[in-house]
Amino acid sequence: MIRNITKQFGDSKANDNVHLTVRSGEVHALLGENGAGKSTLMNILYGLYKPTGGQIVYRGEEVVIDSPMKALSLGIGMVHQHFMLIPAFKTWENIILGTEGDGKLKVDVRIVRERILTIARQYSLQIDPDARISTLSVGLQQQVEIAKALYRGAELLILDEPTGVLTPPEKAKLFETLRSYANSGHSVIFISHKLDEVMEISDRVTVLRGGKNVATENTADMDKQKLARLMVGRNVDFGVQKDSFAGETSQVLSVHNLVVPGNRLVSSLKGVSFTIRAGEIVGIAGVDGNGQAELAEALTGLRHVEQGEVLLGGQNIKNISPRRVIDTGVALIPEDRKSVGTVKNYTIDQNIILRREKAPSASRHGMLAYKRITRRTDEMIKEYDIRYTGRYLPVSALSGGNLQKVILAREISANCRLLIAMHPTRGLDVGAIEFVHAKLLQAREKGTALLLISSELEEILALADRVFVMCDGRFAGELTQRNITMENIGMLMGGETLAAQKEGEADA
Amino acid sequence: MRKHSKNGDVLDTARTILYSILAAFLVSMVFILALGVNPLSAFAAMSAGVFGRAYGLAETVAKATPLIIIGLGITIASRGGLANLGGDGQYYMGALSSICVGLFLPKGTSPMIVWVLAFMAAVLFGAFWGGLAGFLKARFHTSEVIITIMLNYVALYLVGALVNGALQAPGGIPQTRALDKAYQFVKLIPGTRVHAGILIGLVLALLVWLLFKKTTLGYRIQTVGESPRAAQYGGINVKRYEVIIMGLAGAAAGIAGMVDVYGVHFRVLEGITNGFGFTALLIALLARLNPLAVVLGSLFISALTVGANAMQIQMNVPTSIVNVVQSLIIFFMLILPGIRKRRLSRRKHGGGLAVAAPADPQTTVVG
Ligand SMILES: Nc1ncnc2c1ncn2[C@@H]1O[C@H](COP(=O)(O)OP(=O)(O)OP(=O)(O)O)[C@@H](O)[C@H]1O
Ligand SMILES: [Mg+2]
Repeated sequence: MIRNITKQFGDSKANDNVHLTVRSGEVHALLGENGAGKSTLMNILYGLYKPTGGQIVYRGEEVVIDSPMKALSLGIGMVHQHFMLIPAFKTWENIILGTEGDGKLKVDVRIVRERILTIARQYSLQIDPDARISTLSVGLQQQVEIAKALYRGAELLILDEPTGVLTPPEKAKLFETLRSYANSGHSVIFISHKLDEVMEISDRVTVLRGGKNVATENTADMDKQKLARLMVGRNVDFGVQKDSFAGETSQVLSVHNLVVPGNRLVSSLKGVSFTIRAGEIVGIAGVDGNGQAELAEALTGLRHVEQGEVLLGGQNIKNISPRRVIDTGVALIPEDRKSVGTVKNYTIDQNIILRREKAPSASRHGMLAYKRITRRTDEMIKEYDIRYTGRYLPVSALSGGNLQKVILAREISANCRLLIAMHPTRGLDVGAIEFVHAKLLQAREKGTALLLISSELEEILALADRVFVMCDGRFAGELTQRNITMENIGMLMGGETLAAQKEGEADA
Repeated sequence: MRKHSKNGDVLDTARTILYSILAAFLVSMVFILALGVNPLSAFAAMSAGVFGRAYGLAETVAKATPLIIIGLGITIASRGGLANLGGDGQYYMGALSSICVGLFLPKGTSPMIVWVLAFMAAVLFGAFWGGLAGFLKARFHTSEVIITIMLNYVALYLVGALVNGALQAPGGIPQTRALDKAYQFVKLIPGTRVHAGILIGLVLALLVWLLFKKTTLGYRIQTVGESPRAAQYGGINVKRYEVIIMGLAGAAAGIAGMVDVYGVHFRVLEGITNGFGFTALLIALLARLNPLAVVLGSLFISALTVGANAMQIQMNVPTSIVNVVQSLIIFFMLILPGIRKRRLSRRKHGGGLAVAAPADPQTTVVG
């Protein structure tokens, strides 16, 4: 139980007298807008932040948790969104890392392996103790992270946005694990922006807004709309309105038979072709890691293209430098917001001018124009509702969703001919997603060609005018207009082919 | 750009540096005691050596000049995420190329022309020597640390070969001929070694400060240093910038060589740099890569050296004690922030967390 927790950063409170009671045997969802203070609260509970005030009562006793070690010794485990595994180590080595001391010098691998397998069986985790982490998919790595917490005897498991990177089957697996874990008397705190998931997995839900408690309810008494209203304080439109695409505009991007070599760990592109017209949104659906990232990088000069043709407005942009790609009018929302999309030690202002520091809005004759930069950043902060605790703090102090908004603001407002958006709304709250979708459609109205790469089928369905399903570096099929349905996408993702596509496959 | 955090940061940094210096002096007192000398009188001799006479102050400034200029170059490199350990080699290249200009232009060329050409030669050759390491890194992923160190030896032996050969002055001493009197920098204070070079150093400090404060070039260099992946995404050609960054660092060190040749030595011989590159690296770290602080840091370190000379003469304490102090300062600068953080967190938790609410606004963040 958490009582009256306050956490202050500078002059503002990320948590303001927050209460949270988690019972044993329950999955407790923690909801709230971007910047509401969810991660901060959990970091306090896990001993990563020191609360400014308040106390934590665990099993009836007041406790001081001043380090993750302390949290673990109390039985509190946490799985971060960014995993902390060592890729070169084997699964069992990662799992016992930090516990191997125990006074003995030698680790009895047999016993360790046995214990890991017992835990895995008990909570239906899919663990191979001898698999090297670098060979595991994201979903499997997450299972290792969970096993790691359970191996240390965690009885309260905290998961901060665990589902963002999972495929639907991986997600189902995770939920199964969480269920059996809770059923054996343990507790789970589950943070997610996906209300469907919250409805599905949680027993109770606590909503935070602006660092304060809004409500704690039984999930059974709630529905998506009610939850959304509690979170953002207004009604949220889940569907977006959009006119159908006329299809008579000029071609902006034309990609022909694109081949990109892969290396050991990343997949390659094995010949993809498509076009995007002005004012059209082309969606790329598919399980992450099937070449989507490589496609985005190849189109923006960040990855070498071996073969094929890339034309932007008729002009060849294959293998030209990233700088020239930017200058010809291509915006990119990258997959990795933390280490690619932003510079963590830079302020919001400094990040807003990334990629376009030479533009008139940022500099003149090589001299940075601070007044203009600040004014523009102010506008974007307002428009995109970026919430911060200090205007001139490095962006590492922003919440995950707000960091994403910095990138969105920068790339969408660049008004480019082509906007390539990878998982644009990953980590955003429902209100922000609604806003960003509206923004993307607005860009489409203005004639921007959009390449939307997303593993969220709902997002693809809501926005895309045409959809390609990507599978193992190829397009498994194309869907247009009325064909764009959950079922069809699912079928193509599952490796089945729609009848009409069969011949195309044969000569690819 | 960082209005709010800035004050706190600067204060914190200043405090760390001050404590480090104090701690270093305290520890070095033990060494001095061990030599059988009263540390207090040793320090008194030291400060008298610096502040007690015009010569001491002037010498401090003169000695600081090359350190400032090399340190500025290292500041650029380190902000760009690269380590330049080749200050000495680049300094030699600047010295060599600029003396050649002074020696081989026809007699009677106007000093201004000689200076400008010598300066350009020093920039060019220094930049080449530094840029080479950047190029090798960009091209073959070789560590710039190792390459710059190796290039120091190459430059040193090149100087050795030339002052014993092609450039050797008549008389058999391994050194070049001296510059014509007309080409030597004017002394700012007659009778001392303070020459116009310090002005060049100050102007450069201002320029480097502007570079990072105001220019897109500085922004790009810093972005490369902060995150090469974000830089690449940002349209910055990281490999090219590695060459540019090391080139700039080398150019600065080259200028230092030229300034010393035209202001102090008037000729080139082996040993005109006395580990300046390494000292300047320490200074750049001490200054937390702030160009203006590099000036202060250089003055401080060179005052130590000048004071140590006086101390050696008067108290018979070896000048190497200065090296001990220098190293200790860096040592304490590295460990003090960690100690402070631990102390803070212990204090926070010691009293329990019974009090709810109004908070200490200065809570530090872990991690
Ligand atoms: N280290 C820090 N220094 C200063 N402010 C911080 C720090 N960490 C978080 N904050 C601020 O605290 C507030 C809450 O952040 P937190 O990460 O808890 O949000 P969140 O609810 O997890 O949001 P999201 O859904 O976007 O992940 C934000 O305004 C954020 O900017
Ligand atoms: Mg968060």
